[in-house]
Amino acid sequence: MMRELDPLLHNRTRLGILTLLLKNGRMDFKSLRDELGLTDGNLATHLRVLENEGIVKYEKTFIGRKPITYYELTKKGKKRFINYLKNLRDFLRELEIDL
Amino acid sequence: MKREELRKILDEIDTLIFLAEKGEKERKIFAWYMFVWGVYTTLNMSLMLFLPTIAKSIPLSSWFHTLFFAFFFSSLPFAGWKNSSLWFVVYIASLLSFYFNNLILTVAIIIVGISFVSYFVYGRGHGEGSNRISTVSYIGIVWGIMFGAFWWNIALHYRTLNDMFFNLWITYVFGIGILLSGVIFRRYFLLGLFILFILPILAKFGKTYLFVGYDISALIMALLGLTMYMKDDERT
Repeated sequence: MMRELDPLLHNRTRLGILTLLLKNGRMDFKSLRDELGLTDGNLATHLRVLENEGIVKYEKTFIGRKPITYYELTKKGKKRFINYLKNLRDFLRELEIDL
Repeated sequence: MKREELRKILDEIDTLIFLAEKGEKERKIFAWYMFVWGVYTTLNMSLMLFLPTIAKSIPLSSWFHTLFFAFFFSSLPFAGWKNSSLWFVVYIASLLSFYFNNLILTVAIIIVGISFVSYFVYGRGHGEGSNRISTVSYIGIVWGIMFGAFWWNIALHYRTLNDMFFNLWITYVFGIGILLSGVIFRRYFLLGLFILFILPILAKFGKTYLFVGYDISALIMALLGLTMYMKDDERT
């Protein structure tokens, strides 16, 4: 039986964002942009989608006079990402049997 | 796509799932642990207040006999009954020296036994990745070392120790343990401060006041643990 993969998460850039946030816990906008090799606009668009869905949350702060925005996964986001990964794993396991 | 490539991707996914679930699982283990040990302390402290003979006297001492049941129940939901039953091996081994009223030997057996079984239950019982030391494990180990060292000191010097000093000292160790647990669940930090600074004031009015304060703190420890455990349950 074919499992449904969360369409919102099933996107190369968003998966990259979620994986980095999962591994690092918390990351600022610039580090995320550099790690993923994206433009500011592109990253901001994807982050907004994830924010609107309650998957990531942000916190704005200052280092000296410089504003900095940190992103992290919400509990709901983490749970949704785990579900996505489990479905993907099951899907790939079914594929492995067919190979 | 080749089978090897697919296996590699599956391994990556497994690692990510493990990373994502690890923190939550550990918090849950810790919450349950705090609940069980809170109940153990509340029960025995109540006995100290109402039936001191059962709580303190050798060979009846409820602190000793319920200790291994607390260990058993604290690991049961995560390590399974087979691994958790190992606690009773230490119980049986320490029973002999306990009945011969040899406190030093009993404490030595308990410390070595508990360290050994902890490795099997918490180190190996949970399967992959559990051997990696995390913050939660560190706090658990520090709790164990503090109480182990406390009892070792008592076993060596109990004949010369003043009763009130003993009571205040164990309160101090308990308070530090609770304070440390505040790293995982912030509310324990407040409870730790209460134990460390308010209970010595209660002790000024007499031993019974200290015991009541200790008993209430242990009950709060258990209730907070249960609350955190249930809360985690909803999340996962």
